[in-house]
Amino acid sequence: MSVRTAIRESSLSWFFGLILLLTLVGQAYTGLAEYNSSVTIDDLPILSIGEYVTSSQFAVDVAENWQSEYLQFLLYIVLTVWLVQRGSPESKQVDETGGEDDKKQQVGRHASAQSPRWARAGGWRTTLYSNSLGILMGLFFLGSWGAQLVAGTSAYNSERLQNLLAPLSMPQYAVSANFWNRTLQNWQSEFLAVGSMVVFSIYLRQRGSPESKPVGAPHVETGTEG
Amino acid sequence: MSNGRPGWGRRPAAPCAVVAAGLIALSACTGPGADQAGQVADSFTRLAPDDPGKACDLLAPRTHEEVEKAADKSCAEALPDEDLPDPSPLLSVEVYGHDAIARFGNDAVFLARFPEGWRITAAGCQAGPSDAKPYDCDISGG
Repeated sequence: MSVRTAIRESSLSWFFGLILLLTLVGQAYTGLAEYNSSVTIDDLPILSIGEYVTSSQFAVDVAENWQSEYLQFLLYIVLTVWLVQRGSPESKQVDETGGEDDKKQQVGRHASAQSPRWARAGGWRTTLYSNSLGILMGLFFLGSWGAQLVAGTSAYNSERLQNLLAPLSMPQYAVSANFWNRTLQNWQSEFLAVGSMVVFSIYLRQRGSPESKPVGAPHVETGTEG
Repeated sequence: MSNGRPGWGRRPAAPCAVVAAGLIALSACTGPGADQAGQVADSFTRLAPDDPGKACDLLAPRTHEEVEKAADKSCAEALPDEDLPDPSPLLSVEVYGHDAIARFGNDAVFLARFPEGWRITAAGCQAGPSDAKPYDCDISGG
Protein backbone atom coordinates (compact mmCIF):
# COMPACT_ATOMS: atom_id res chain seq x y z
CA MET A 1 0.00 0.00 0.00
CA SER A 2 1.41 3.39 -0.96
CA VAL A 3 1.79 6.18 1.56
CA ARG A 4 -0.76 8.18 -0.36
CA THR A 5 -3.29 5.37 -0.17
CA ALA A 6 -2.56 4.84 3.52
CA ILE A 7 -3.16 8.51 4.24
CA ARG A 8 -6.33 8.63 2.14
CA GLU A 9 -7.76 5.57 3.86
CA SER A 10 -7.20 7.19 7.25
CA SER A 11 -7.90 10.75 6.15
CA LEU A 12 -10.38 11.34 8.96
CA SER A 13 -7.85 10.43 11.65
CA TRP A 14 -5.05 12.40 9.96
CA PHE A 15 -7.23 15.47 9.53
CA PHE A 16 -8.34 15.57 13.15
CA GLY A 17 -4.83 14.80 14.38
CA LEU A 18 -3.50 17.72 12.35
CA ILE A 19 -6.13 20.24 13.39
CA LEU A 20 -5.69 19.11 16.99
CA LEU A 21 -2.03 20.11 16.81
CA LEU A 22 -2.76 23.37 15.00
CA THR A 23 -5.43 24.39 17.47
CA LEU A 24 -3.24 23.45 20.44
CA VAL A 25 -0.51 25.72 19.05
CA GLY A 26 -3.08 28.48 18.54
CA GLN A 27 -4.41 27.99 22.07
CA ALA A 28 -0.86 28.16 23.46
CA TYR A 29 -0.04 31.46 21.77
CA THR A 30 -3.37 33.14 22.44
CA GLY A 31 -3.37 31.88 26.03
CA LEU A 32 0.16 33.23 26.49
CA ALA A 33 -0.87 36.62 25.11
CA GLU A 34 -3.86 36.77 27.45
CA TYR A 35 -1.83 35.69 30.50
CA ASN A 36 1.00 38.12 29.81
CA SER A 37 -1.47 40.91 29.21
CA SER A 38 -3.09 40.31 32.61
CA VAL A 39 0.18 40.16 34.59
CA THR A 40 1.70 43.14 32.81
CA ILE A 41 -0.97 45.35 34.40
CA ASP A 42 0.52 44.55 37.82
CA ASP A 43 4.16 44.58 36.67
CA LEU A 44 4.37 40.86 37.41
CA PRO A 45 6.71 38.63 35.37
CA ILE A 46 5.58 37.60 31.91
CA LEU A 47 6.12 34.06 30.61
CA SER A 48 7.88 32.73 27.51
CA ILE A 49 6.00 30.30 25.28
CA GLY A 50 8.04 27.42 26.73
CA GLU A 51 7.18 28.44 30.28
CA TYR A 52 3.52 28.91 29.36
CA VAL A 53 2.99 25.49 27.72
CA THR A 54 4.48 23.81 30.80
CA SER A 55 2.46 25.97 33.19
CA SER A 56 -0.55 24.93 35.20
CA GLN A 57 -2.54 27.70 33.47
CA PHE A 58 -2.15 26.02 30.08
CA ALA A 59 -2.56 22.51 31.50
CA VAL A 60 -5.86 23.29 33.20
CA ASP A 61 -7.26 24.95 30.09
CA VAL A 62 -6.38 21.88 28.00
CA ALA A 63 -7.46 19.29 30.56
CA GLU A 64 -10.85 20.84 31.30
CA ASN A 65 -11.81 20.55 27.65
CA TRP A 66 -10.40 17.07 27.20
CA GLN A 67 -12.21 15.62 30.19
CA SER A 68 -15.55 16.87 28.94
CA GLU A 69 -14.95 15.43 25.47
CA TYR A 70 -14.09 12.03 26.89
CA LEU A 71 -17.06 12.19 29.25
CA GLN A 72 -19.27 12.93 26.25
CA PHE A 73 -18.00 9.87 24.41
CA LEU A 74 -18.08 7.69 27.51
CA LEU A 75 -21.72 8.56 28.12
CA TYR A 76 -22.68 8.25 24.50
CA ILE A 77 -20.96 4.91 24.04
CA VAL A 78 -22.41 3.40 27.21
CA LEU A 79 -25.87 5.00 27.31
CA THR A 80 -26.69 4.09 23.70
CA VAL A 81 -26.57 0.45 24.80
CA TRP A 82 -29.79 1.04 26.72
CA LEU A 83 -31.23 4.40 25.68
CA VAL A 84 -32.71 4.90 22.24
CA GLN A 85 -34.18 7.67 20.11
CA ARG A 86 -36.73 6.66 17.51
CA GLY A 87 -35.79 8.13 14.15
CA SER A 88 -32.16 8.89 14.98
CA PRO A 89 -29.33 7.35 12.97
CA GLU A 90 -27.26 7.50 16.17
CA SER A 91 -29.65 5.13 17.96
CA LYS A 92 -30.11 1.40 17.71
CA GLN A 93 -33.60 0.03 17.06
CA VAL A 94 -35.93 0.82 19.94
CA ASP A 95 -36.58 -2.87 20.71
CA GLU A 96 -32.91 -3.86 20.67
CA THR A 97 -31.73 -2.28 23.91
CA GLY A 98 -29.10 -4.02 26.01
CA GLY A 99 -25.86 -5.85 25.30
CA GLU A 100 -27.40 -8.08 22.61
CA ASP A 101 -26.74 -11.78 22.16
CA ASP A 102 -23.42 -13.40 21.32
CA LYS A 103 -24.49 -14.21 17.79
CA LYS A 104 -25.23 -10.62 16.90
CA GLN A 105 -22.08 -9.44 18.66
CA GLN A 106 -19.97 -12.14 16.94
CA VAL A 107 -18.28 -13.31 20.11
CA GLY A 108 -17.27 -16.75 21.40
CA ARG A 109 -18.29 -19.50 19.01
CA HIS A 110 -20.02 -16.94 16.79
CA ALA A 111 -16.75 -15.14 16.10
CA SER A 112 -15.32 -15.36 12.61
CA ALA A 113 -11.75 -16.01 11.55
CA GLN A 114 -11.27 -12.26 11.12
CA SER A 115 -12.69 -11.39 14.53
CA PRO A 116 -10.30 -9.89 17.10
CA ARG A 117 -8.61 -12.65 19.11
CA TRP A 118 -10.17 -11.63 22.42
CA ALA A 119 -13.65 -11.72 20.86
CA ARG A 120 -13.06 -15.43 20.30
CA ALA A 121 -11.24 -16.14 23.56
CA GLY A 122 -14.25 -16.22 25.88
CA GLY A 123 -14.15 -15.60 29.65
CA TRP A 124 -12.76 -12.40 31.16
CA ARG A 125 -10.87 -11.49 28.01
CA THR A 126 -14.01 -11.36 25.89
CA THR A 127 -15.86 -9.51 28.67
CA LEU A 128 -13.05 -6.98 28.93
CA TYR A 129 -12.74 -6.58 25.17
CA SER A 130 -16.52 -6.26 24.87
CA ASN A 131 -16.36 -3.15 27.04
CA SER A 132 -12.91 -1.88 26.09
CA LEU A 133 -14.01 1.24 24.24
CA GLY A 134 -16.13 2.48 27.12
CA ILE A 135 -13.43 1.56 29.65
CA LEU A 136 -10.75 3.45 27.73
CA MET A 137 -12.94 6.53 27.36
CA GLY A 138 -13.71 6.31 31.07
CA LEU A 139 -10.02 6.14 31.95
CA PHE A 140 -9.22 9.08 29.66
CA PHE A 141 -12.07 11.02 31.27
CA LEU A 142 -10.89 10.32 34.80
CA GLY A 143 -7.26 10.98 33.87
CA SER A 144 -7.94 14.32 32.23
CA TRP A 145 -10.41 15.35 34.96
CA GLY A 146 -7.75 14.50 37.53
CA ALA A 147 -5.22 16.55 35.54
CA GLN A 148 -7.72 19.43 35.55
CA LEU A 149 -7.97 19.18 39.34
CA VAL A 150 -4.21 19.10 39.89
CA ALA A 151 -3.38 21.82 37.36
CA GLY A 152 -6.42 23.85 38.37
CA THR A 153 -5.33 23.89 42.00
CA SER A 154 -1.96 25.29 41.00
CA ALA A 155 -3.29 27.81 38.48
CA TYR A 156 -6.02 29.02 40.82
CA ASN A 157 -3.60 29.34 43.72
CA SER A 158 -1.19 31.28 41.54
CA GLU A 159 -3.99 33.78 40.86
CA ARG A 160 -4.93 33.86 44.53
CA LEU A 161 -1.37 34.63 45.58
CA GLN A 162 -1.24 37.50 43.08
CA ASN A 163 -4.30 38.87 44.90
CA LEU A 164 -2.75 38.29 48.36
CA LEU A 165 -5.21 35.49 49.14
CA ALA A 166 -4.24 32.29 50.95
CA PRO A 167 -3.83 29.28 48.65
CA LEU A 168 -6.34 26.42 48.82
CA SER A 169 -5.53 22.76 49.42
CA MET A 170 -6.46 20.34 46.64
CA PRO A 171 -9.54 19.02 48.53
CA GLN A 172 -10.64 22.64 49.08
CA TYR A 173 -10.18 23.36 45.39
CA ALA A 174 -12.09 20.18 44.46
CA VAL A 175 -15.22 21.66 46.06
CA SER A 176 -14.57 25.24 44.95
CA ALA A 177 -16.75 27.26 42.61
CA ASN A 178 -13.82 27.68 40.20
CA PHE A 179 -13.33 23.92 39.73
CA TRP A 180 -17.01 23.18 39.28
CA ASN A 181 -17.66 26.19 37.09
CA ARG A 182 -14.84 25.13 34.76
CA THR A 183 -16.20 21.57 34.80
CA LEU A 184 -19.89 22.29 34.33
CA GLN A 185 -19.48 24.90 31.61
CA ASN A 186 -17.72 22.25 29.55
CA TRP A 187 -20.14 19.48 30.40
CA GLN A 188 -23.23 21.45 29.44
CA SER A 189 -21.83 22.25 26.01
CA GLU A 190 -21.04 18.59 25.36
CA PHE A 191 -24.49 17.48 26.45
CA LEU A 192 -26.05 20.14 24.22
CA ALA A 193 -24.00 18.97 21.23
CA VAL A 194 -24.90 15.31 21.70
CA GLY A 195 -28.57 16.01 22.35
CA SER A 196 -28.78 18.29 19.31
CA MET A 197 -27.15 15.69 17.08
CA VAL A 198 -29.52 12.96 18.25
CA VAL A 199 -32.63 15.05 17.70
CA PHE A 200 -31.72 17.03 14.57
CA SER A 201 -30.55 13.89 12.78
CA ILE A 202 -34.11 12.57 12.96
CA TYR A 203 -35.38 15.28 10.62
CA LEU A 204 -32.36 16.72 8.83
CA ARG A 205 -29.91 15.08 6.42
CA GLN A 206 -26.34 15.50 5.23
CA ARG A 207 -26.01 13.72 1.94
CA GLY A 208 -23.10 11.28 1.91
CA SER A 209 -22.36 11.49 5.62
CA PRO A 210 -22.41 8.27 7.66
CA GLU A 211 -23.67 10.38 10.55
CA SER A 212 -26.89 11.09 8.65
CA LYS A 213 -29.66 8.91 7.37
CA PRO A 214 -29.94 8.71 3.58
CA VAL A 215 -31.66 11.85 2.29
CA GLY A 216 -34.80 9.96 1.35
CA ALA A 217 -35.04 7.87 4.51
CA PRO A 218 -38.26 8.40 6.48
CA HIS A 219 -38.08 10.41 9.69
CA VAL A 220 -39.28 7.40 11.72
CA GLU A 221 -36.47 5.17 10.46
CA THR A 222 -34.07 4.47 13.28
CA GLY A 223 -30.42 3.45 13.20
CA THR A 224 -29.79 3.66 9.47
CA GLU A 225 -26.83 5.69 8.38
CA GLY A 226 -26.10 6.79 4.86
CA MET B 1 -23.51 1.95 8.87
CA SER B 2 -24.42 -0.55 11.50
CA ASN B 3 -26.90 0.17 14.23
CA GLY B 4 -25.86 1.40 17.62
CA ARG B 5 -22.45 2.67 16.56
CA PRO B 6 -21.30 4.71 19.48
CA GLY B 7 -20.64 8.38 18.98
CA TRP B 8 -19.16 10.01 15.96
CA GLY B 9 -15.80 8.28 15.93
CA ARG B 10 -14.31 11.53 14.76
CA ARG B 11 -11.70 12.19 17.41
CA PRO B 12 -8.62 9.98 17.57
CA ALA B 13 -7.64 8.81 21.02
CA ALA B 14 -4.60 10.55 22.47
CA PRO B 15 -3.30 8.55 25.43
CA CYS B 16 0.19 10.06 25.36
CA ALA B 17 -1.22 13.56 25.38
CA VAL B 18 -3.40 12.79 28.38
CA VAL B 19 -0.40 11.43 30.28
CA ALA B 20 1.62 14.47 29.23
CA ALA B 21 -1.08 16.83 30.50
CA GLY B 22 -1.10 15.00 33.81
CA LEU B 23 2.65 15.26 34.15
CA ILE B 24 2.63 18.93 33.23
CA ALA B 25 -0.06 19.50 35.82
CA LEU B 26 1.88 17.68 38.50
CA SER B 27 5.15 19.43 37.77
CA ALA B 28 3.43 22.80 37.93
CA CYS B 29 2.08 22.43 41.42
CA THR B 30 4.63 20.68 43.53
CA GLY B 31 6.53 23.85 44.23
CA PRO B 32 9.85 23.82 42.39
CA GLY B 33 11.81 26.80 43.59
CA ALA B 34 10.40 26.74 47.11
CA ASP B 35 13.92 26.74 48.60
CA GLN B 36 15.00 29.81 46.63
CA ALA B 37 11.73 31.62 47.37
CA GLY B 38 12.17 30.87 51.08
CA GLN B 39 15.77 32.14 51.02
CA VAL B 40 14.78 35.42 49.37
CA ALA B 41 11.88 35.92 51.77
CA ASP B 42 14.10 35.12 54.76
CA SER B 43 16.83 37.47 53.52
CA PHE B 44 14.31 40.26 53.09
CA THR B 45 12.87 39.99 56.59
CA ARG B 46 16.39 39.93 58.11
CA LEU B 47 17.76 42.76 55.95
CA ALA B 48 14.79 45.11 56.26
CA PRO B 49 15.62 46.47 59.76
CA ASP B 50 19.41 46.76 59.36
CA ASP B 51 20.14 47.17 55.66
CA PRO B 52 16.97 48.49 54.01
CA GLY B 53 18.87 49.36 50.81
CA LYS B 54 19.68 45.72 50.19
CA ALA B 55 16.19 44.68 51.27
CA CYS B 56 14.74 47.10 48.71
CA ASP B 57 16.73 45.33 45.99
CA LEU B 58 14.63 42.23 46.74
CA LEU B 59 11.31 43.98 46.14
CA ALA B 60 9.31 43.46 42.95
CA PRO B 61 9.26 46.59 40.73
CA ARG B 62 5.66 47.56 41.52
CA THR B 63 6.13 47.06 45.26
CA HIS B 64 9.38 49.05 45.22
CA GLU B 65 7.58 51.84 43.41
CA GLU B 66 4.62 51.80 45.82
CA VAL B 67 6.90 52.02 48.89
CA GLU B 68 8.61 55.10 47.45
CA LYS B 69 5.39 56.66 46.24
CA ALA B 70 3.56 56.24 49.55
CA ALA B 71 6.39 57.80 51.58
CA ASP B 72 7.60 60.23 48.93
CA LYS B 73 11.20 59.25 49.61
CA SER B 74 13.65 56.60 48.50
CA CYS B 75 12.86 52.98 49.26
CA ALA B 76 15.88 52.66 51.56
CA GLU B 77 14.62 55.62 53.57
CA ALA B 78 10.98 54.60 53.52
CA LEU B 79 11.29 50.91 54.41
CA PRO B 80 12.31 51.38 58.10
CA ASP B 81 9.17 53.49 58.61
CA GLU B 82 6.91 50.66 57.50
CA ASP B 83 6.93 48.95 60.91
CA LEU B 84 7.48 45.51 59.47
CA PRO B 85 7.20 42.74 62.09
CA ASP B 86 10.43 41.56 63.70
CA PRO B 87 12.21 38.74 61.87
CA SER B 88 10.90 35.34 62.91
CA PRO B 89 11.49 31.72 61.91
CA LEU B 90 10.42 30.61 58.43
CA LEU B 91 7.62 28.07 58.87
CA SER B 92 6.62 27.09 55.34
CA VAL B 93 6.82 28.03 51.67
CA GLU B 94 4.22 27.19 49.04
CA VAL B 95 4.93 27.74 45.34
CA TYR B 96 2.29 27.75 42.62
CA GLY B 97 3.61 28.49 39.15
CA HIS B 98 5.51 31.77 39.37
CA ASP B 99 3.96 32.82 42.67
CA ALA B 100 4.74 31.89 46.26
CA ILE B 101 3.88 32.58 49.86
CA ALA B 102 6.41 32.26 52.68
CA ARG B 103 4.94 32.03 56.16
CA PHE B 104 6.97 33.19 59.15
CA GLY B 105 6.18 33.10 62.84
CA ASN B 106 5.12 36.76 62.84
CA ASP B 107 3.86 37.38 59.33
CA ALA B 108 3.78 36.19 55.73
CA VAL B 109 5.58 37.36 52.58
CA PHE B 110 4.30 37.03 49.00
CA LEU B 111 6.72 36.54 46.12
CA ALA B 112 6.78 36.31 42.32
CA ARG B 113 9.48 34.75 40.18
CA PHE B 114 11.06 37.23 37.76
CA PRO B 115 13.81 36.48 35.21
CA GLU B 116 16.35 37.74 37.79
CA GLY B 117 14.91 35.54 40.55
CA TRP B 118 12.26 35.60 43.28
CA ARG B 119 11.17 39.08 44.36
CA ILE B 120 8.91 40.23 47.20
CA THR B 121 5.50 41.46 46.06
CA ALA B 122 4.12 42.00 49.57
CA ALA B 123 5.53 41.76 53.10
CA GLY B 124 4.45 42.16 56.69
CA CYS B 125 1.20 40.38 55.85
CA GLN B 126 -1.35 39.15 58.34
CA ALA B 127 -4.06 36.66 57.30
CA GLY B 128 -7.53 38.07 56.65
CA PRO B 129 -10.55 37.09 58.75
CA SER B 130 -11.28 34.23 56.31
CA ASP B 131 -9.77 32.56 53.24
CA ALA B 132 -12.03 34.74 51.11
CA LYS B 133 -10.36 37.91 52.36
CA PRO B 134 -6.86 38.97 51.32
CA TYR B 135 -3.92 39.28 53.67
CA ASP B 136 -3.44 42.71 55.22
CA CYS B 137 0.10 43.75 54.27
CA ASP B 138 2.38 46.55 55.47
CA ILE B 139 3.86 46.86 51.97
CA SER B 140 2.48 45.59 48.68
CA GLY B 141 2.29 46.44 45.01
CA GLY B 142 -0.85 48.51 45.45
